[in-house]
Amino acid sequence: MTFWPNKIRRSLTLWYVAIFGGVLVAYIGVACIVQYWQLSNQLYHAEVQDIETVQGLLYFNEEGKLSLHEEYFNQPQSRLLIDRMMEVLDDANGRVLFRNRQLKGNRLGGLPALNEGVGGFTPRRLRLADGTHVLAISHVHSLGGTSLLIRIAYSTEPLRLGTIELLGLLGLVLPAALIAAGFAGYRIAGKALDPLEQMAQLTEGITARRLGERIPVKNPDDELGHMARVLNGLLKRLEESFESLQRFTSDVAHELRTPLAAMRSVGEVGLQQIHDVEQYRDIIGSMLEEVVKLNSMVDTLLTLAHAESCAIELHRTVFPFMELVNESAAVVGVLAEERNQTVSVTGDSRINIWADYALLRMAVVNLLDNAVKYSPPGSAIRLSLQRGDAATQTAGFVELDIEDEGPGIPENARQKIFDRFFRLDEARTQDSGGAGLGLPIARWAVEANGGRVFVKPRPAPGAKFCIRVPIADGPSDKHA
Amino acid sequence: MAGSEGIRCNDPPHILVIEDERKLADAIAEGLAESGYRVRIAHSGEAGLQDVRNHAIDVILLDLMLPRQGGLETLRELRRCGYKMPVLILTSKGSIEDRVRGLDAGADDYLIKPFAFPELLARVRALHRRAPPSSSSVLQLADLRLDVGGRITTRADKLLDLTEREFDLLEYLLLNSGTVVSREMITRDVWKTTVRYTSMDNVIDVHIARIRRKIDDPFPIKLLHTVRGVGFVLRMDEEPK
Repeated sequence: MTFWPNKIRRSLTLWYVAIFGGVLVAYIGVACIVQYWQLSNQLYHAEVQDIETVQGLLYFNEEGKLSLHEEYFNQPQSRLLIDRMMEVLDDANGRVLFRNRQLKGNRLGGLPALNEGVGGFTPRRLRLADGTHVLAISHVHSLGGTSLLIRIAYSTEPLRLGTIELLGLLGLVLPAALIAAGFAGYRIAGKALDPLEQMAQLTEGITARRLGERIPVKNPDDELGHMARVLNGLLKRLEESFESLQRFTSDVAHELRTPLAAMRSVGEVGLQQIHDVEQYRDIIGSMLEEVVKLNSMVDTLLTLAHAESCAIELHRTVFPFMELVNESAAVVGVLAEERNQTVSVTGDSRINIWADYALLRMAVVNLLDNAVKYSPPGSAIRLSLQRGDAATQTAGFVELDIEDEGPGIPENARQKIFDRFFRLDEARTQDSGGAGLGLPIARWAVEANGGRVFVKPRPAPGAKFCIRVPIADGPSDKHA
Repeated sequence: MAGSEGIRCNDPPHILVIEDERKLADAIAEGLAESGYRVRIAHSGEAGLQDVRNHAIDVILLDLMLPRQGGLETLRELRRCGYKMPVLILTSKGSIEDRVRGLDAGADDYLIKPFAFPELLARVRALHRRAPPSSSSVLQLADLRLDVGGRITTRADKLLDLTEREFDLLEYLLLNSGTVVSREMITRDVWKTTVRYTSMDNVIDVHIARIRRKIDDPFPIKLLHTVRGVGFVLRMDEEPK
């Protein structure tokens, strides 16, 4: 297995790492912002407290100069205050009355702004002339009749540094966390995809000869179980169509071999002795008969093959179904007459259908021909045409029933009888000359016209075939 | 008026068969020669074109699957050179597109292999005459008479009672009298359907048997003959040559 065995696993891992990294970066960012904001807030409160302290320490000395009681610095709890920057202005004229050393001669905000420090504490973020960022607050205080604007500021540099330190610390952890996440993600993705890989290997091993094998389904309810079931279904259909193809091929070979064998024997026997002209004509004619049989079988198979690949164009027109039924009955009628059978047609002659006339006629003729072939001499064949009704869920359809008095179709063969080369009785159909293709081609012809052909169950002896096609709404076209 | 002598020119028509399958080409040539045509065989498109330039050819039978220059190309070149004689395409490919392509390239008719020889003969005759068999009002063979307009059939002046379908079938046989017609031709031309029925051959056989019962059984000279494995023919002499 290579490091990147497949694309899904790689992209799953990458996605995992990317999302994890994104969340982590956002978390670090928020943490730093919150930290900085909290520290600023603390500084502000400290400054407010500081201003109140400073107010009490300010005084005018003998020369009238504003001073600060410096001994305050000696108190240990105030040691931090050595960083305090402070400026006091005369609020009335903006003159600087006091400026401590920490300011290093920088001005702390210039002339008083409007309402600066009046009735509370005004916080301001400033950048001093030497580039130091500070958080300053102002407050107006009255001392000895003078209104003083006290400004106190601390550098925000330590805050910034602290936050950057935190950022750095968290950032240092980030790559390690991402690597760990990537590794974990890769493993998880691999674990999730493993059954798929197994399934692929199993499926790869299933060849045409082993189509009967199936993929084991561990949990039929999860996604992979579903996948396995879908694949198994596909394999089943594949196996079935493969089997039917094999059966079809061997059936075709068998069917082709029969006339070939006849031709060969007739030809070989014919050449064994000298015959007169009439006998030779007979021999050649007999061989030609088999050729014609072969020919029509190949034609029919080709038609079916074309039909299955939907390569046949339909020429549909609207016409009364009864017209087609009558014509088909007339075509096959002579065959029935030869066997003293009667063919009767009943039903509504006004029902129009939209279909390919020639194709549908072929289907009806094939069914009728079967009825004639398999019914005993002197029996009756009944054709009846009627509208479907809502009770049997066939509203909008017309049904043609073809009933005969032959041996009937056993229940277990009612489906298979429409398969290619299926024969009810091997010995009997041989001399009737059918190749087992009449019903399959009839079924195709009916289904191509949007209909269905099937065997209806019936109690009495004999078979009852039914052709059901949709009724057309429009008026009948005049067809040739 | 009908018959195998239907070819009116003094010179028999000259037919060129372009077909690379030698056995089939020879069989076709022999059959056509027996039917009174002069025949040449070419085994490739190039040789066929050469023959067309050097001989007066009346009808061409052209196989589509030729080596090197294919049948369609040969046909196109033939038409490009201005030759207008009728061309009948022979092919084993029966799809509609192939048919359309062949007709587009200038073919006059189309026959799918394997075909019945009577069918080929009928097509060649039709192509050469360039007109369907004339439907005269009275058809006659020996003492058998068919009045097409009045739909009356008589033999030796005796009125015969034929059904409509029997009449149509007999008319078709009379129109082609002297030549064999196959069951496929009857299916197409009398029953007017191109869709093959499994039972059609049986139906035709029954009709033929009935016609024979009516026109032949009561008379000493038989006219309707079955050519086993091929089809049926109406003719006077019982022994074909």
